[in-house]
Amino acid sequence: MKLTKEHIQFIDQYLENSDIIHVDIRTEMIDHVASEIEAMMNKGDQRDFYFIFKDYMVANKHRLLNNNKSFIKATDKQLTQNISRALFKWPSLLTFFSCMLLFTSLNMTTDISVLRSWVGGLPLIGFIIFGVYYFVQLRWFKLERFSALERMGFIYAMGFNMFHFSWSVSSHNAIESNYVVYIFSSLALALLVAMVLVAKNKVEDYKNRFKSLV
Amino acid sequence: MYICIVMSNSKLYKGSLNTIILKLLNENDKMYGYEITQKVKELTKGELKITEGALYPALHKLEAEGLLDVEVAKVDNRLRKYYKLTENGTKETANKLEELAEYIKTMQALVNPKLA
Repeated sequence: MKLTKEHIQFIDQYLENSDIIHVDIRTEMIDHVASEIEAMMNKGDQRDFYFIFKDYMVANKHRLLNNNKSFIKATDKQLTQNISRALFKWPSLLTFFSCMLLFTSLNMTTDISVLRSWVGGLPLIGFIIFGVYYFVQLRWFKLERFSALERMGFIYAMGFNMFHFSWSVSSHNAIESNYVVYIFSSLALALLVAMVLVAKNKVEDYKNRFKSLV
Repeated sequence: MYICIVMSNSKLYKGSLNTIILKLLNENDKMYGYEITQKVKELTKGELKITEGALYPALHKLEAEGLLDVEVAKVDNRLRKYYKLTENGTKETANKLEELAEYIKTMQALVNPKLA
């Protein structure tokens, strides 16, 4: 006996309401739960689908939610590796060295306090543009939420906080501390470029894997 | 680490979960999560039951390490995620099985010297 489309939608909705928001994680859980329920029905469980589902969830929901956490952990690990590799690709390296060149040359010709504020704000501006673009795509095209694309924001936020910390604690008067800000700012912008590269690959990967969804 | 492999002596088996998964995928071209749990249950005549709380974290970790590749297909009104070994995964399977054989040999020598 196989579950109907409505049953599958019901499981999907239930898991989504249980905070399993990413479709790539939910897909696997839906299949597992559906396979278990089908196996029970095939073994002779005569009850209605909803009763079998309810009992299954009472017994296994905690484990399924833990599975969600472990998936996100694995995604973070994979993303960190991918972004680290992308940082050494030419678009990221070019961004880093171009920014450094630009900031240091401006350092000689522009008011340092103004430049410092601008340089300090650039990574945040870049991140906001990235975030707004993603949010608009999500709302406008009603796209599904995929774990790797959303966790990338978390990784960048960690990188940005490190940059912001260095910016806040460095002396605002010392010239050499400005260079620390320039290095970190260039690094944050290179990180942003690396993220765009990884995001592009991930989108392609998801498109190939989840053809019927995206 | 979850204690989710259900059997009488789970601690002895827990460290071998990755090897079990890799070995099964080495023998079958591709498999999905539920299928792996059922295959293990069948092969061990119900002695070893891998729950989703142990299986999926292990699969995701192996995927993150680049040992497994994933393929998604539509089956019975839903999407199904199939796992298969990558080239590195195949090499790692051979290493893991060799390690396991060594371990069994060593344990055999300790537990039953006459057979070793």
